[in-house]
Amino acid sequence: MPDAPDDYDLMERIERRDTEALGMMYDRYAGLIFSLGQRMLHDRGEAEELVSDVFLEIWRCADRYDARRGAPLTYLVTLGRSRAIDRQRSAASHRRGSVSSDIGSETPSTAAGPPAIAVLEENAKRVRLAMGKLEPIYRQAVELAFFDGLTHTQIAERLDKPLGTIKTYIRQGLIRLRDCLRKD
Amino acid sequence: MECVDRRDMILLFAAGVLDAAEAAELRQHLAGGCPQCSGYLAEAESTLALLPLQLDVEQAPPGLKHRVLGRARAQAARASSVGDGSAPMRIGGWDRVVLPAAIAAVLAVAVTLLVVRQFWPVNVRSPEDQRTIADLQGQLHLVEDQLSEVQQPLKGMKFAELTGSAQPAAVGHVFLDTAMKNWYFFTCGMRPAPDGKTYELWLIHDGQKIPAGTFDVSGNGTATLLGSIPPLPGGAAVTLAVTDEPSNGPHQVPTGKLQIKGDVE
Repeated sequence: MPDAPDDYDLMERIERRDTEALGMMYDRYAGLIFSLGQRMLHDRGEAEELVSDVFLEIWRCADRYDARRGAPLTYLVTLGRSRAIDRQRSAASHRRGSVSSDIGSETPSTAAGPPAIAVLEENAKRVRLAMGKLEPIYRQAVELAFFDGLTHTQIAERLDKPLGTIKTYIRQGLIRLRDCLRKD
Repeated sequence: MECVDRRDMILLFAAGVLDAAEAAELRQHLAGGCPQCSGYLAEAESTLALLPLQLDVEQAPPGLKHRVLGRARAQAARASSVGDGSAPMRIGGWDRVVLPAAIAAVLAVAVTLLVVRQFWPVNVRSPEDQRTIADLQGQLHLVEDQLSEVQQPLKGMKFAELTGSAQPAAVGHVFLDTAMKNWYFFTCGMRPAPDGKTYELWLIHDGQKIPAGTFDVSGNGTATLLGSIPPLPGGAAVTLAVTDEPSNGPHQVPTGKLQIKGDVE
């Protein structure tokens, strides 16, 4: 069986309007973006729309991706988080009547491939380990900033801590995470 | 400040938690093309991109992939037929005349999709059936996108979506062309009116309920109506509603039960 194409290959093919490549990218990362959406938006329907937005945006604007700036996964997650924050902050957003999701079952294509899954699982372990090394209050502050899109002031109110302390928690938390993840 | 001192600041910037003043200064510096800081930014973004991996990953809902790919195919087909650099749609007198046809195209695809989805038994859908449905959904999104483009520059065109708890599966769309003084109504998913009854559309303004026509739905729950907009003050708030009424109408005041309702945007 031929090796599954890597993410960079898929991005190149997507830029050439290859829907099969888009489908393979979807199989690899739709679940991650969906989970990110659920965590950030607390709503399955919104998370579903987020997945649709992200994959259609990489389809429409694949030429914006610059491999020198980071891996395709970085691009996807950055885009997903950015669009989720847009939704969080859009007070006037109206949910479109979503078409129900009953078109039958879908089996993720095997092209996602064991190597790609293994890399994801390995990275997930690293991140959980790095997060586990943070003091709980640092981790909580980082998660409120990253996933909930809260400002320093909102986090200070939520955790009932002085603003300066919260800034320190987030700053130190993120730096320790970076150093831990880069060191591995 | 030396670039090496900006590394931590760039991490906070990428996470969106840097103070506004510092972020502005950093943005300006990055815009200057500093290679070292661009590298720090890439490092920060790749670090942050790993954070969602700690989440318990759940599969995206079934059906979503078909819809995304169907829409992507439709966009690709559209790009190849009109060219990516095509001029934006111009809305003038002629376009306004043909707009109902564009709306009809949207509605036709919507009806086809609705019928297919409602009457195609779930347990006998083959992969080919699923592809057909996904393609139809892609077409629907495509024409919705096209209609959306038309709407942007179309001054004086107003819209309303009608829904209601009495008929949760039904949705109505009303397009009011204030320049041409016409409205177009389309509904799908409505149950046939009970024996001896029909449906009636009402235009409600300032507490006044103006009858706008009666209609019956077809076997697949759809109906359309066209009419003229009565004189209304500029900027008037307008609501549209459908009630069921005795079939000896039309009536001058609603007497039946509210079915679906919506405000004009």
